[in-house]
Amino acid sequence: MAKETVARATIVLYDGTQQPVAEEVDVLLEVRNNFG
Amino acid sequence: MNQTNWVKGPVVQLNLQFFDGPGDNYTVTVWVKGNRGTGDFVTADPKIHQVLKFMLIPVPTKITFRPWVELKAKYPKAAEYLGLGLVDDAAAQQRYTDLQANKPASLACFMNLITAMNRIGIGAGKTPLDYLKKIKWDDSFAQDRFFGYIDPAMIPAVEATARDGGGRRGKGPRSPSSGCYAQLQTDRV
Repeated sequence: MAKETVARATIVLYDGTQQPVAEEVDVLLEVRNNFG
Repeated sequence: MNQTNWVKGPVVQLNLQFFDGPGDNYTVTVWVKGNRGTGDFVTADPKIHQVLKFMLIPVPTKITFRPWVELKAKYPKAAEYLGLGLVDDAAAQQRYTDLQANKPASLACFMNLITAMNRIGIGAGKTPLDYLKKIKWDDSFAQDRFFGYIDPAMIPAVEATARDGGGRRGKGPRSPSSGCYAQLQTDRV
């Protein structure tokens, strides 16, 4: 069986009252690999 | 694999390349207009679908406090220790009011620390709060610490807990590191 090469993750945004953000928002997302 | 791009939230799906080695450690950061940037470290693992929960803190930040009656009902420990050494409830409420007006960030830190300390088990069903006898409300009461006096009996309790590898009470999620810590002076009171 081929080895999986992708890991999945889900970001969920909460507001300051610990409730999930309800409305659509624009998110600037940065993903950095710490190795290189 | 580094990327920076605009996506739609509040739920964002991520695919992280898995190398099965040191290249599997990532830093994920998000910014939403009007809020402080936030993020976390993630280790890619195809066997685990991680859920990263990020709280958006609006900027500029404004600290709001509950009315005294509500605080007592919902966070009785915070209210109790605000009144430590005072004669009655009215005096504790006055201290709460004064701190809100003069040292809101320090008060917020204090309540964070009291809440955290109330969840740290140090043996015999006790927490650090059970040993806290006096709090210094002078200029040393700051937004990243407070000073106080504890019963010296706390020292062997902490040492025993450290030996046992314990120190946690309750089943709730661990609190994120707040950068706050308590500096407690031991003394007999």
